[in-house]
Amino acid sequence: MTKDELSAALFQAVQDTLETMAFAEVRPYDESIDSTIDSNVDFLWGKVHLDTVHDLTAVEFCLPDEFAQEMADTMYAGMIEIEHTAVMDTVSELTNTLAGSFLLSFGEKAGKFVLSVPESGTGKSQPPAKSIVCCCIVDEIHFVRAVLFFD
Amino acid sequence: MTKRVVIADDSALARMFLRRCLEISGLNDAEFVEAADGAEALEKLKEVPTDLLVTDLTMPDVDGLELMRRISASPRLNGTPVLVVTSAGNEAQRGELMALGVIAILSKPINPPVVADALEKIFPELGV
Repeated sequence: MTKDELSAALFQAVQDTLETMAFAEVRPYDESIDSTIDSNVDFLWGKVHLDTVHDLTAVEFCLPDEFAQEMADTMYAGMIEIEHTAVMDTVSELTNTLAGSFLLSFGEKAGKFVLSVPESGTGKSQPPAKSIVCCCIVDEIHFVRAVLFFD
Repeated sequence: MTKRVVIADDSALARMFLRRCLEISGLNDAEFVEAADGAEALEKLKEVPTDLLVTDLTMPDVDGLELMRRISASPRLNGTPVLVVTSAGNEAQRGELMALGVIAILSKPINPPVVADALEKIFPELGV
């Protein structure tokens, strides 16, 4: 797959995951119209490591802390009191689902792959030069970012 | 008769999401038992006969594939209907899972219509 195809597949994975799990509307980040959105708020991230999918080594997803809490609220639908553990679990599960959804775009070319149990944490890292970054706007107000890491 | 369903996934959110999809898809009066990994799922399966196991593949300690191997090797548990719901459901692994007795492999994110289709194979009497 070319870099453009990987970017398109990553965006599709973000869109499918957030629409299906949280009924959220996702569109690509457009600098010309989204420059007023604050992308420097507190972030949470989830990361899944991959084994044997060409030279792809990990998929990361990060989203604002406040938005992650909103997502947890939406997805649990008031069934539990949302605490930090539930928010981090939400970030991990979103990342896990997003990574799997992205890998589906490889079809049989993905071969036999293994996904790690998701890691999660706080902050927003600087993606390395050799990466593909997909920035999106969710529900017109939230900036989220997915990153593909390579060997 | 109430059906007993064991849901194995290391994410509490995923277990809740799966449960909700199963309820919407026809198992609204089932007894749901949750497990956070394969070892816990195995314990729950040994307690009483189970009508359906829904399991993820990527879990700490005993993962879904190892869980399926242990179920397949157990004369008592072999034959338990199993649905795999996973992010790691690659084509190359499908054959191995089916050979171990998995009825269907669903890729996350799942939705109720997809779950209903799979349930129809396992419980045709539900008429979903």
